Amino acid sequence: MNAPLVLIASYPKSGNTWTRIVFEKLRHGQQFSMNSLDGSYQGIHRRLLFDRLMTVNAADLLPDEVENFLPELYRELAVETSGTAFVKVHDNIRHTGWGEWIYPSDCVRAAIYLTRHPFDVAVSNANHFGISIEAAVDFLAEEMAPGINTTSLPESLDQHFGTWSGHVKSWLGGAPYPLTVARYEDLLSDPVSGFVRLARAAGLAHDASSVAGAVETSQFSVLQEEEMRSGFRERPDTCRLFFRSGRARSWEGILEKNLQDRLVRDHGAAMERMGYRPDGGVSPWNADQKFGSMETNRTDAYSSP
Amino acid sequence: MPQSNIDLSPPGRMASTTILTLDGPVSGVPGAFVREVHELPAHLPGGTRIAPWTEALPGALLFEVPRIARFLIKDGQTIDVLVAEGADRSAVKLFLETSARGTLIHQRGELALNAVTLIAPDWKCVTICAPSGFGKSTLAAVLCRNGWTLLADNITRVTWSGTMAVAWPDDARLKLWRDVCEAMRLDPAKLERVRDKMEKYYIPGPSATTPARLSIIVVLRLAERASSRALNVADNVFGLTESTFRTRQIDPLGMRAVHTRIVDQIAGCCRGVLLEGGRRAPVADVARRLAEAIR
Repeated sequence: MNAPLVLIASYPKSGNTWTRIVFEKLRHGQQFSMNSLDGSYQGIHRRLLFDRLMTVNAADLLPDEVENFLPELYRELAVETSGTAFVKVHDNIRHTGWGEWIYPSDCVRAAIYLTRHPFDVAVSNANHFGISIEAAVDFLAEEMAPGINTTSLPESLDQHFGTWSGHVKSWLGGAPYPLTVARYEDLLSDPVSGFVRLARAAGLAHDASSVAGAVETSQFSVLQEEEMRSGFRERPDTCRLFFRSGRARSWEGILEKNLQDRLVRDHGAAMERMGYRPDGGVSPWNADQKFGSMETNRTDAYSSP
Repeated sequence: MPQSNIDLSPPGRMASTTILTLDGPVSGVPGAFVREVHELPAHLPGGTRIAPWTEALPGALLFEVPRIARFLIKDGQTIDVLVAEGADRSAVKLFLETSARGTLIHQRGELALNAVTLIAPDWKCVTICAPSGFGKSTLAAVLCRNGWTLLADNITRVTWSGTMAVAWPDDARLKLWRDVCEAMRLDPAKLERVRDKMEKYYIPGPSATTPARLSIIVVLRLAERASSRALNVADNVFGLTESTFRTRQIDPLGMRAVHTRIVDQIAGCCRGVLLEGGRRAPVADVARRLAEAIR
Protein backbone atom coordinates (compact mmCIF):
# COMPACT_ATOMS: atom_id res chain seq x y z
CA MET A 1 0.00 0.00 0.00
CA ASN A 2 1.22 3.47 -0.85
CA ALA A 3 0.81 4.96 2.60
CA PRO A 4 -1.59 7.89 2.20
CA LEU A 5 -1.60 9.45 5.67
CA VAL A 6 0.63 12.37 6.59
CA LEU A 7 0.50 13.15 10.28
CA ILE A 8 0.62 16.77 11.36
CA ALA A 9 1.53 16.27 14.99
CA SER A 10 1.93 18.70 17.81
CA TYR A 11 1.04 19.45 21.37
CA PRO A 12 -2.14 21.59 21.20
CA LYS A 13 -1.68 25.24 20.20
CA SER A 14 1.62 24.85 18.43
CA GLY A 15 0.78 25.78 14.85
CA ASN A 16 -0.99 22.61 13.73
CA THR A 17 -4.06 24.29 12.24
CA TRP A 18 -2.00 26.99 10.54
CA THR A 19 0.15 24.33 8.90
CA ARG A 20 -2.86 22.40 7.64
CA ILE A 21 -4.41 25.55 6.23
CA VAL A 22 -1.21 26.39 4.32
CA PHE A 23 -1.06 22.81 3.02
CA GLU A 24 -4.68 22.84 1.88
CA LYS A 25 -4.17 26.18 0.13
CA LEU A 26 -1.26 24.59 -1.70
CA ARG A 27 -3.50 21.70 -2.70
CA HIS A 28 -6.72 23.54 -3.46
CA GLY A 29 -5.75 27.14 -4.16
CA GLN A 30 -5.59 30.30 -2.15
CA GLN A 31 -9.37 30.67 -1.92
CA PHE A 32 -9.51 27.58 0.28
CA SER A 33 -11.47 28.39 3.44
CA MET A 34 -10.28 27.23 6.82
CA ASN A 35 -13.82 25.99 7.46
CA SER A 36 -13.34 23.50 4.65
CA LEU A 37 -10.47 21.79 6.45
CA ASP A 38 -10.91 18.07 6.49
CA GLY A 39 -8.76 15.33 7.78
CA SER A 40 -8.47 16.88 11.19
CA TYR A 41 -10.44 14.07 12.80
CA GLN A 42 -10.40 15.93 16.05
CA GLY A 43 -13.16 16.52 18.55
CA ILE A 44 -16.47 14.97 17.63
CA HIS A 45 -15.09 14.21 14.15
CA ARG A 46 -12.74 11.60 15.57
CA ARG A 47 -15.63 9.81 17.27
CA LEU A 48 -17.69 10.04 14.07
CA LEU A 49 -14.80 8.64 12.06
CA PHE A 50 -14.48 5.72 14.45
CA ASP A 51 -18.19 4.96 14.37
CA ARG A 52 -18.33 5.25 10.59
CA LEU A 53 -15.37 3.02 9.83
CA MET A 54 -15.54 0.43 12.59
CA THR A 55 -18.35 -2.07 13.11
CA VAL A 56 -18.89 -1.17 16.76
CA ASN A 57 -19.37 2.24 18.33
CA ALA A 58 -16.57 3.72 20.37
CA ALA A 59 -19.11 4.58 23.07
CA ASP A 60 -19.67 0.86 23.67
CA LEU A 61 -15.97 0.20 24.20
CA LEU A 62 -13.76 0.75 27.21
CA PRO A 63 -11.01 3.36 26.76
CA ASP A 64 -8.26 0.76 26.49
CA GLU A 65 -10.27 -1.11 23.85
CA VAL A 66 -10.70 2.08 21.82
CA GLU A 67 -6.95 2.64 22.07
CA ASN A 68 -6.27 -0.92 20.93
CA PHE A 69 -8.59 -0.49 17.95
CA LEU A 70 -7.03 2.78 16.75
CA PRO A 71 -4.39 1.23 14.49
CA GLU A 72 -7.13 -0.62 12.59
CA LEU A 73 -9.15 2.59 12.40
CA TYR A 74 -6.27 4.43 10.73
CA ARG A 75 -5.60 1.50 8.41
CA GLU A 76 -9.22 1.69 7.37
CA LEU A 77 -8.95 5.44 6.86
CA ALA A 78 -5.92 4.78 4.67
CA VAL A 79 -7.90 2.26 2.61
CA GLU A 80 -10.62 4.78 1.84
CA THR A 81 -8.27 7.71 1.22
CA SER A 82 -7.39 8.57 -2.32
CA GLY A 83 -4.34 10.77 -2.59
CA THR A 84 -3.08 12.13 0.69
CA ALA A 85 -4.90 12.79 3.96
CA PHE A 86 -3.36 15.23 6.42
CA VAL A 87 -4.28 13.98 9.85
CA LYS A 88 -4.12 16.38 12.77
CA VAL A 89 -2.58 14.61 15.74
CA HIS A 90 -2.27 15.81 19.31
CA ASP A 91 -1.47 12.41 20.81
CA ASN A 92 2.00 11.68 21.98
CA ILE A 93 3.30 8.83 19.87
CA ARG A 94 3.05 5.53 21.67
CA HIS A 95 2.16 1.87 21.47
CA THR A 96 -1.29 0.54 22.24
CA GLY A 97 -1.78 -2.07 24.91
CA TRP A 98 -1.62 -4.65 22.12
CA GLY A 99 1.83 -3.43 21.14
CA GLU A 100 1.11 -1.52 17.92
CA TRP A 101 1.84 2.12 17.18
CA ILE A 102 -1.46 3.98 17.51
CA TYR A 103 -0.81 5.37 14.03
CA PRO A 104 0.63 2.31 12.31
CA SER A 105 3.67 2.89 10.14
CA ASP A 106 2.25 0.88 7.25
CA CYS A 107 -0.33 3.58 6.51
CA VAL A 108 1.70 6.69 7.41
CA ARG A 109 3.94 8.15 4.73
CA ALA A 110 5.45 10.92 6.80
CA ALA A 111 5.02 12.86 9.99
CA ILE A 112 5.58 16.54 10.61
CA TYR A 113 6.15 17.45 14.22
CA LEU A 114 5.61 21.05 15.32
CA THR A 115 6.74 22.54 18.59
CA ARG A 116 6.31 25.90 20.28
CA HIS A 117 7.91 27.46 23.33
CA PRO A 118 6.06 26.05 26.37
CA PHE A 119 5.61 29.56 27.78
CA ASP A 120 3.44 30.39 24.79
CA VAL A 121 1.84 26.95 24.77
CA ALA A 122 0.71 27.39 28.38
CA VAL A 123 -0.80 30.82 27.75
CA SER A 124 -2.47 29.72 24.53
CA ASN A 125 -3.86 26.53 26.11
CA ALA A 126 -5.32 28.56 28.96
CA ASN A 127 -7.34 30.50 26.41
CA HIS A 128 -8.15 27.45 24.31
CA PHE A 129 -9.44 25.29 27.16
CA GLY A 130 -10.91 28.15 29.19
CA ILE A 131 -8.71 27.52 32.22
CA SER A 132 -6.41 29.67 34.32
CA ILE A 133 -2.77 30.15 33.34
CA GLU A 134 -1.74 28.26 36.46
CA ALA A 135 -4.03 25.35 35.56
CA ALA A 136 -2.54 25.36 32.05
CA VAL A 137 0.96 25.14 33.51
CA ASP A 138 -0.24 22.22 35.65
CA PHE A 139 -1.78 20.64 32.55
CA LEU A 140 1.53 20.72 30.67
CA ALA A 141 3.05 18.67 33.49
CA GLU A 142 0.26 16.12 33.84
CA GLU A 143 0.98 12.62 32.65
CA MET A 144 -2.69 11.54 32.50
CA ALA A 145 -2.97 7.99 31.26
CA PRO A 146 -5.33 7.28 28.36
CA GLY A 147 -8.86 6.60 29.49
CA ILE A 148 -8.67 8.59 32.67
CA ASN A 149 -12.11 10.03 31.99
CA THR A 150 -14.52 7.14 32.38
CA THR A 151 -17.51 8.76 34.00
CA SER A 152 -18.84 10.61 31.00
CA LEU A 153 -18.85 10.38 27.25
CA PRO A 154 -16.67 13.16 25.89
CA GLU A 155 -17.42 14.47 22.43
CA SER A 156 -14.01 13.38 21.25
CA LEU A 157 -12.31 10.07 21.71
CA ASP A 158 -9.62 10.19 24.32
CA GLN A 159 -6.44 11.81 23.20
CA HIS A 160 -3.38 11.34 25.31
CA PHE A 161 -1.01 14.28 25.15
CA GLY A 162 1.03 13.37 28.20
CA THR A 163 3.30 16.09 29.51
CA TRP A 164 4.66 18.72 27.16
CA SER A 165 8.19 17.40 27.52
CA GLY A 166 7.01 13.79 27.29
CA HIS A 167 5.25 14.72 24.06
CA VAL A 168 8.46 16.14 22.60
CA LYS A 169 10.42 13.16 23.83
CA SER A 170 8.00 10.63 22.34
CA TRP A 171 8.03 12.18 18.86
CA LEU A 172 11.72 12.99 18.69
CA GLY A 173 12.78 9.79 20.35
CA GLY A 174 11.14 7.10 18.36
CA ALA A 175 8.41 7.94 15.89
CA PRO A 176 8.48 5.13 13.33
CA TYR A 177 7.95 7.40 10.30
CA PRO A 178 10.07 9.77 8.23
CA LEU A 179 9.94 12.72 10.62
CA THR A 180 10.33 16.41 9.91
CA VAL A 181 10.45 18.73 12.90
CA ALA A 182 9.68 22.43 12.81
CA ARG A 183 9.45 25.09 15.48
CA TYR A 184 6.49 27.45 15.33
CA GLU A 185 8.78 30.37 16.00
CA ASP A 186 10.94 29.53 12.96
CA LEU A 187 7.85 29.26 10.78
CA LEU A 188 6.77 32.69 11.99
CA SER A 189 10.12 34.30 11.32
CA ASP A 190 10.59 32.82 7.84
CA PRO A 191 7.33 31.19 6.80
CA VAL A 192 8.12 30.70 3.13
CA SER A 193 11.36 28.79 3.70
CA GLY A 194 9.76 26.90 6.56
CA PHE A 195 6.72 25.80 4.61
CA VAL A 196 8.74 24.97 1.49
CA ARG A 197 10.59 22.50 3.68
CA LEU A 198 7.39 21.10 5.21
CA ALA A 199 5.60 20.88 1.85
CA ARG A 200 8.53 18.89 0.51
CA ALA A 201 8.36 16.56 3.50
CA ALA A 202 4.61 16.11 3.02
CA GLY A 203 5.01 15.31 -0.66
CA LEU A 204 3.00 18.34 -1.77
CA ALA A 205 3.57 19.79 -5.21
CA HIS A 206 4.87 23.30 -4.64
CA ASP A 207 7.31 26.00 -5.56
CA ALA A 208 8.46 29.06 -3.66
CA SER A 209 5.88 31.22 -5.37
CA SER A 210 2.90 28.97 -4.54
CA VAL A 211 4.10 28.64 -0.96
CA ALA A 212 4.47 32.42 -0.70
CA GLY A 213 0.90 32.81 -1.91
CA ALA A 214 -0.43 30.22 0.52
CA VAL A 215 1.46 31.85 3.38
CA GLU A 216 0.25 35.31 2.41
CA THR A 217 -3.39 34.25 2.51
CA SER A 218 -2.88 32.30 5.76
CA GLN A 219 -1.48 35.19 7.75
CA PHE A 220 -2.75 35.26 11.28
CA SER A 221 -4.70 38.46 10.75
CA VAL A 222 -6.45 36.92 7.73
CA LEU A 223 -7.42 33.80 9.66
CA GLN A 224 -8.57 35.79 12.66
CA GLU A 225 -10.69 38.01 10.44
CA GLU A 226 -12.24 34.98 8.75
CA GLU A 227 -13.00 33.45 12.14
CA MET A 228 -14.67 36.64 13.34
CA ARG A 229 -16.68 36.81 10.13
CA SER A 230 -17.65 33.16 9.67
CA GLY A 231 -16.61 31.31 12.80
CA PHE A 232 -14.30 28.32 12.85
CA ARG A 233 -15.68 24.86 13.27
CA GLU A 234 -12.61 23.58 15.13
CA ARG A 235 -13.05 26.19 17.86
CA PRO A 236 -13.99 24.48 21.11
CA ASP A 237 -16.82 25.83 23.26
CA THR A 238 -14.26 26.79 25.86
CA CYS A 239 -12.75 29.72 23.98
CA ARG A 240 -14.11 32.78 22.23
CA LEU A 241 -11.55 32.81 19.42
CA PHE A 242 -9.47 29.90 18.15
CA PHE A 243 -6.99 32.26 16.54
CA ARG A 244 -5.98 34.30 19.58
CA SER A 245 -2.49 35.72 19.22
CA GLY A 246 -0.42 33.89 16.64
CA ARG A 247 2.91 35.33 17.61
CA ALA A 248 6.01 34.39 19.55
CA ARG A 249 6.45 35.69 23.10
CA SER A 250 2.69 36.04 23.52
CA TRP A 251 3.27 35.03 27.14
CA GLU A 252 4.95 38.35 27.98
CA GLY A 253 2.99 40.29 30.53
CA ILE A 254 0.73 37.29 31.16
CA LEU A 255 2.87 34.45 32.48
CA GLU A 256 4.13 35.20 36.00
CA LYS A 257 7.79 34.59 36.80
CA ASN A 258 7.00 31.76 39.24
CA LEU A 259 5.06 29.96 36.50
CA GLN A 260 7.91 30.48 34.05
CA ASP A 261 10.21 28.91 36.61
CA ARG A 262 7.87 25.97 37.03
CA LEU A 263 7.77 25.34 33.28
CA VAL A 264 11.57 25.38 33.15
CA ARG A 265 11.73 23.06 36.14
CA ASP A 266 9.20 20.67 34.61
CA HIS A 267 10.40 20.72 31.02
CA GLY A 268 13.97 22.02 31.01
CA ALA A 269 15.53 19.08 29.18
CA ALA A 270 13.01 19.16 26.35
CA MET A 271 13.21 22.95 26.15
CA GLU A 272 16.94 22.80 25.82
CA ARG A 273 16.66 20.09 23.18
CA MET A 274 14.36 22.33 21.15
CA GLY A 275 16.36 25.51 21.69
CA TYR A 276 13.74 27.11 23.93
CA ARG A 277 15.50 29.34 26.43
CA PRO A 278 14.48 29.74 30.08
CA ASP A 279 14.03 33.47 29.46
CA GLY A 280 11.30 32.70 26.91
CA GLY A 281 13.53 33.29 23.90
CA VAL A 282 14.49 30.94 21.14
CA SER A 283 18.05 29.90 20.29
CA PRO A 284 19.27 29.07 16.79
CA TRP A 285 18.54 25.46 16.08
CA ASN A 286 19.30 22.97 13.33
CA ALA A 287 15.97 21.70 12.07
CA ASP A 288 17.58 19.03 9.93
CA GLN A 289 19.53 17.38 12.68
CA LYS A 290 19.15 13.67 13.35
CA PHE A 291 16.69 12.86 16.05
CA GLY A 292 16.88 10.01 18.47
CA SER A 293 16.56 9.37 22.16
CA MET A 294 16.40 12.69 23.91
CA GLU A 295 19.11 13.68 26.32
CA THR A 296 17.75 14.08 29.80
CA ASN A 297 20.67 15.97 31.25
CA ARG A 298 20.26 19.69 31.17
CA THR A 299 22.79 22.43 31.32
CA ASP A 300 22.96 24.88 34.18
CA ALA A 301 20.68 27.43 32.55
CA TYR A 302 17.83 24.94 32.77
CA SER A 303 18.54 23.82 36.33
CA SER A 304 15.87 24.37 38.89
CA PRO A 305 15.65 28.04 39.66
CA MET B 1 -53.18 13.28 13.21
CA PRO B 2 -51.54 9.86 13.19
CA GLN B 3 -52.64 7.66 16.06
CA SER B 4 -50.34 5.41 17.95
CA ASN B 5 -51.50 1.95 18.87
CA ILE B 6 -48.97 1.77 21.63
CA ASP B 7 -49.69 0.49 25.12
CA LEU B 8 -48.39 2.89 27.67
CA SER B 9 -47.55 2.02 31.22
CA PRO B 10 -48.37 4.61 33.83
CA PRO B 11 -45.52 7.08 34.22
CA GLY B 12 -42.99 5.93 36.79
CA ARG B 13 -43.85 2.29 36.46
CA MET B 14 -41.49 -0.05 34.70
CA ALA B 15 -42.97 -2.00 31.83
CA SER B 16 -41.24 -4.87 30.08
CA THR B 17 -37.78 -5.58 31.39
CA THR B 18 -37.04 -8.39 28.98
CA ILE B 19 -33.39 -7.98 28.13
CA LEU B 20 -31.73 -9.47 25.11
CA THR B 21 -30.07 -12.59 26.41
CA LEU B 22 -27.52 -14.53 24.42
CA ASP B 23 -29.94 -17.33 23.55
CA GLY B 24 -33.40 -16.20 22.61
CA PRO B 25 -35.37 -13.82 20.45
CA VAL B 26 -33.88 -10.64 19.02
CA SER B 27 -35.77 -7.86 20.71
CA GLY B 28 -38.21 -6.06 18.49
CA VAL B 29 -37.59 -8.40 15.54
CA PRO B 30 -40.21 -11.14 15.74
CA GLY B 31 -39.00 -14.44 14.35
CA ALA B 32 -35.30 -13.66 14.63
CA PHE B 33 -33.12 -15.50 17.12
CA VAL B 34 -29.76 -15.33 18.83
CA ARG B 35 -27.87 -18.56 19.39
CA GLU B 36 -24.72 -18.95 21.39
CA VAL B 37 -22.48 -21.37 19.52
CA HIS B 38 -19.19 -23.05 20.27
CA GLU B 39 -17.64 -22.61 16.84
CA LEU B 40 -17.70 -19.98 14.17
CA PRO B 41 -15.35 -19.63 11.21
CA ALA B 42 -12.72 -16.91 11.37
CA HIS B 43 -13.65 -15.88 7.83
CA LEU B 44 -16.82 -15.81 5.80
CA PRO B 45 -16.46 -18.11 2.76
CA GLY B 46 -16.98 -15.96 -0.33
CA GLY B 47 -17.20 -12.84 1.78
CA THR B 48 -15.46 -9.52 1.28
CA ARG B 49 -13.67 -7.58 3.96
CA ILE B 50 -15.72 -4.42 4.49
CA ALA B 51 -14.27 -3.04 7.73
CA PRO B 52 -11.76 -4.11 10.37
CA TRP B 53 -12.64 -7.61 11.56
CA THR B 54 -15.76 -7.58 9.38
CA GLU B 55 -16.64 -9.57 6.26
CA ALA B 56 -19.89 -9.64 4.33
CA LEU B 57 -21.75 -11.03 1.36
CA PRO B 58 -25.43 -10.84 0.46
CA GLY B 59 -27.31 -12.49 3.30
CA ALA B 60 -24.41 -12.86 5.71
CA LEU B 61 -22.07 -10.73 7.76
CA LEU B 62 -19.36 -11.90 10.12
CA PHE B 63 -17.71 -9.55 12.56
CA GLU B 64 -15.53 -9.84 15.57
CA VAL B 65 -14.91 -7.66 18.56
CA PRO B 66 -11.46 -8.94 19.46
CA ARG B 67 -11.25 -10.70 22.82
CA ILE B 68 -15.01 -10.35 23.32
CA ALA B 69 -17.01 -12.24 20.69
CA ARG B 70 -17.52 -13.14 17.06
CA PHE B 71 -20.94 -12.70 15.47
CA LEU B 72 -22.45 -14.26 12.34
CA ILE B 73 -25.67 -12.62 11.18
CA LYS B 74 -27.57 -14.49 8.48
CA ASP B 75 -30.59 -13.83 6.30
CA GLY B 76 -32.12 -11.36 8.68
CA GLN B 77 -33.08 -14.29 10.86
CA THR B 78 -30.26 -15.52 13.05
CA ILE B 79 -27.35 -14.15 15.02
CA ASP B 80 -24.83 -16.79 16.02
CA VAL B 81 -22.43 -15.64 18.67
CA LEU B 82 -19.17 -17.20 19.78
CA VAL B 83 -18.08 -15.71 23.08
CA ALA B 84 -14.34 -15.37 23.64
CA GLU B 85 -12.97 -17.16 26.65
CA GLY B 86 -13.20 -15.00 29.73
CA ALA B 87 -15.09 -12.24 27.93
CA ASP B 88 -17.45 -9.93 29.77
CA ARG B 89 -20.88 -11.27 28.79
CA SER B 90 -22.55 -7.95 29.42
CA ALA B 91 -20.32 -6.56 26.65
CA VAL B 92 -21.39 -9.38 24.35
CA LYS B 93 -25.01 -8.53 25.07
CA LEU B 94 -24.35 -4.89 24.31
CA PHE B 95 -22.83 -5.65 20.90
CA LEU B 96 -25.74 -7.99 20.17
CA GLU B 97 -28.21 -5.20 20.92
CA THR B 98 -26.37 -2.68 18.78
CA SER B 99 -24.09 -3.81 15.96
CA ALA B 100 -25.43 -7.33 15.41
CA ARG B 101 -29.07 -6.26 15.63
CA GLY B 102 -28.47 -3.33 13.28
CA THR B 103 -26.98 -5.63 10.65
CA LEU B 104 -29.84 -8.08 11.03
CA ILE B 105 -32.33 -5.27 10.36
CA HIS B 106 -30.37 -4.28 7.23
CA GLN B 107 -30.55 -7.84 5.97
CA ARG B 108 -34.34 -7.80 6.33
CA GLY B 109 -34.60 -4.77 4.06
CA GLU B 110 -35.81 -2.61 6.91
CA LEU B 111 -34.44 0.60 8.25
CA ALA B 112 -31.96 0.54 11.15
CA LEU B 113 -31.60 4.05 12.49
CA ASN B 114 -29.07 5.45 14.90
CA ALA B 115 -31.94 6.85 16.88
CA VAL B 116 -33.82 6.86 20.13
CA THR B 117 -37.57 6.67 19.67
CA LEU B 118 -40.24 7.84 22.08
CA ILE B 119 -43.94 8.31 22.39
CA ALA B 120 -44.87 11.90 23.18
CA PRO B 121 -47.62 12.69 25.70
CA ASP B 122 -49.99 13.35 22.78
CA TRP B 123 -49.14 9.85 21.50
CA LYS B 124 -47.10 10.91 18.51
CA CYS B 125 -44.22 8.54 17.87
CA VAL B 126 -41.03 10.53 17.44
CA THR B 127 -37.62 9.17 16.43
CA ILE B 128 -34.59 11.31 17.29
CA CYS B 129 -31.69 10.54 14.96
CA ALA B 130 -28.08 11.36 15.78
CA PRO B 131 -24.69 9.70 16.06
CA SER B 132 -23.52 8.60 19.48
CA GLY B 133 -22.10 11.45 21.50
CA PHE B 134 -24.68 14.02 20.37
CA GLY B 135 -26.81 13.75 23.50
CA LYS B 136 -29.75 11.61 22.33
CA SER B 137 -30.01 9.59 25.52
CA THR B 138 -29.72 12.59 27.82
CA LEU B 139 -32.45 14.33 25.85
CA ALA B 140 -34.58 11.19 25.98
CA ALA B 141 -34.11 10.95 29.74
CA VAL B 142 -35.36 14.51 30.18
CA LEU B 143 -38.29 13.85 27.84
CA CYS B 144 -39.22 10.73 29.84
CA ARG B 145 -39.35 12.89 32.95
CA ASN B 146 -41.73 15.14 31.03
CA GLY B 147 -44.17 12.31 30.37
CA TRP B 148 -42.75 10.79 27.20
CA THR B 149 -42.34 7.02 26.97
CA LEU B 150 -39.33 5.24 25.56
CA LEU B 151 -39.89 2.90 22.63
CA ALA B 152 -36.41 2.14 21.35
CA ASP B 153 -32.91 3.15 22.34
CA ASN B 154 -29.78 3.32 20.25
CA ILE B 155 -30.86 1.37 17.15
CA THR B 156 -34.46 1.89 16.10
CA ARG B 157 -36.01 -0.61 13.71
CA VAL B 158 -38.42 1.01 11.26
CA THR B 159 -40.51 -0.97 8.79
CA TRP B 160 -42.88 0.00 6.00
CA SER B 161 -46.37 -1.48 6.29
CA GLY B 162 -47.47 -0.48 2.81
CA THR B 163 -49.18 2.65 4.07
CA MET B 164 -47.18 3.85 7.06
CA ALA B 165 -43.84 3.72 8.82
CA VAL B 166 -43.76 1.55 11.93
CA ALA B 167 -41.22 1.87 14.75
CA TRP B 168 -40.59 -1.23 16.80
CA PRO B 169 -39.93 -1.47 20.53
CA ASP B 170 -36.69 -3.10 21.60
CA ASP B 171 -37.27 -3.70 25.31
CA ALA B 172 -35.45 -0.43 25.62
CA ARG B 173 -33.84 0.95 28.69
CA LEU B 174 -31.95 4.16 28.43
CA LYS B 175 -28.23 3.99 29.01
CA LEU B 176 -26.72 6.99 30.74
CA TRP B 177 -23.19 7.85 31.78
CA ARG B 178 -22.46 8.48 35.43
CA ASP B 179 -22.26 12.25 35.06
CA VAL B 180 -25.72 12.39 33.51
CA CYS B 181 -27.12 10.00 36.16
CA GLU B 182 -25.79 12.25 38.87
CA ALA B 183 -27.11 15.37 37.19
CA MET B 184 -30.52 13.69 37.12
CA ARG B 185 -30.17 12.64 40.77
CA LEU B 186 -30.06 8.95 39.97
CA ASP B 187 -27.80 6.93 42.23
CA PRO B 188 -25.44 4.82 40.06
CA ALA B 189 -24.90 2.46 42.99
CA LYS B 190 -28.51 1.32 42.56
CA LEU B 191 -28.32 0.89 38.80
CA GLU B 192 -27.16 -1.96 36.58
CA ARG B 193 -23.96 -1.30 34.67
CA VAL B 194 -24.11 -1.62 30.90
CA ARG B 195 -20.70 -3.32 30.95
CA ASP B 196 -18.26 -4.34 33.63
CA LYS B 197 -15.83 -1.48 34.30
CA MET B 198 -17.97 0.97 32.34
CA GLU B 199 -19.53 3.93 34.15
CA LYS B 200 -22.66 3.73 32.07
CA TYR B 201 -25.89 2.46 33.52
CA TYR B 202 -29.26 1.10 32.46
CA ILE B 203 -32.03 3.42 33.59
CA PRO B 204 -35.29 1.72 34.51
CA GLY B 205 -38.42 3.47 33.39
CA PRO B 206 -41.62 2.98 31.48
CA SER B 207 -41.09 1.66 28.02
CA ALA B 208 -43.50 0.89 25.23
CA THR B 209 -44.00 -2.73 24.27
CA THR B 210 -45.90 -2.65 21.01
CA PRO B 211 -45.02 -1.13 17.63
CA ALA B 212 -46.12 2.40 16.89
CA ARG B 213 -46.88 4.38 13.79
CA LEU B 214 -43.89 6.64 13.29
CA SER B 215 -45.01 10.18 12.61
CA ILE B 216 -42.02 12.47 13.18
CA ILE B 217 -38.36 12.17 12.29
CA VAL B 218 -36.09 14.50 14.24
CA VAL B 219 -32.52 15.05 13.09
CA LEU B 220 -30.48 16.25 16.05
CA ARG B 221 -27.46 18.47 15.42
CA LEU B 222 -24.88 20.01 17.70
CA ALA B 223 -25.23 23.73 18.35
CA GLU B 224 -24.76 26.03 21.27
CA ARG B 225 -28.36 27.24 21.17
CA ALA B 226 -31.49 25.18 20.89
CA SER B 227 -33.60 25.82 17.81
CA SER B 228 -35.72 23.89 15.38
CA ARG B 229 -37.17 24.06 11.91
CA ALA B 230 -39.25 21.86 9.67
CA LEU B 231 -37.57 19.68 7.06
CA ASN B 232 -38.94 18.95 3.63
CA VAL B 233 -39.06 15.46 2.15
CA ALA B 234 -35.68 15.80 0.45
CA ASP B 235 -34.12 16.85 3.76
CA ASN B 236 -35.90 13.93 5.39
CA VAL B 237 -34.33 11.55 2.89
CA PHE B 238 -30.92 13.04 3.59
CA GLY B 239 -31.46 12.91 7.34
CA LEU B 240 -32.55 9.27 7.27
CA THR B 241 -29.71 8.31 4.97
CA GLU B 242 -27.06 9.83 7.15
CA SER B 243 -28.69 8.43 10.28
CA THR B 244 -28.79 4.89 8.98
CA PHE B 245 -26.77 2.40 10.97
CA ARG B 246 -23.48 1.51 9.21
CA THR B 247 -24.33 2.52 5.66
CA ARG B 248 -21.09 0.90 4.53
CA GLN B 249 -22.74 -2.49 5.04
CA ILE B 250 -25.64 -1.87 2.68
CA ASP B 251 -23.90 -2.49 -0.66
CA PRO B 252 -21.97 -5.59 0.42
CA LEU B 253 -25.20 -7.01 1.84
CA GLY B 254 -26.84 -6.43 -1.55
CA MET B 255 -29.50 -4.17 -0.03
CA ARG B 256 -28.93 -0.85 -1.78
CA ALA B 257 -32.11 -0.76 -3.87
CA VAL B 258 -34.26 -1.97 -0.99
CA HIS B 259 -32.69 0.56 1.35
CA THR B 260 -33.20 3.45 -1.04
CA ARG B 261 -36.85 2.50 -1.46
CA ILE B 262 -37.64 2.25 2.25
CA VAL B 263 -35.87 5.54 2.99
CA ASP B 264 -38.01 7.23 0.32
CA GLN B 265 -41.18 5.64 1.67
CA ILE B 266 -40.53 6.60 5.26
CA ALA B 267 -39.25 10.09 4.46
CA GLY B 268 -42.36 10.71 2.42
CA CYS B 269 -44.84 9.81 5.13
CA CYS B 270 -43.27 11.41 8.22
CA ARG B 271 -42.86 15.01 9.25
CA GLY B 272 -39.22 16.04 9.50
CA VAL B 273 -37.74 18.34 12.10
CA LEU B 274 -34.21 19.64 12.39
CA LEU B 275 -33.45 20.10 16.07
CA GLU B 276 -30.32 22.04 16.85
CA GLY B 277 -28.66 21.90 20.22
CA GLY B 278 -27.77 18.37 21.25
CA ARG B 279 -25.29 18.13 24.07
CA ARG B 280 -23.88 21.61 23.50
CA ALA B 281 -27.08 23.43 24.46
CA PRO B 282 -28.96 23.23 27.77
CA VAL B 283 -30.90 19.98 27.53
CA ALA B 284 -34.06 21.51 29.03
CA ASP B 285 -34.05 24.09 26.21
CA VAL B 286 -33.60 21.38 23.61
CA ALA B 287 -36.45 19.33 25.10
CA ARG B 288 -38.72 22.39 25.15
CA ARG B 289 -37.89 23.23 21.54
CA LEU B 290 -38.67 19.67 20.51
CA ALA B 291 -42.00 19.69 22.32
CA GLU B 292 -42.91 22.93 20.55
CA ALA B 293 -41.73 21.67 17.16
CA ILE B 294 -43.89 18.54 17.15
CA ARG B 295 -47.13 20.25 18.11
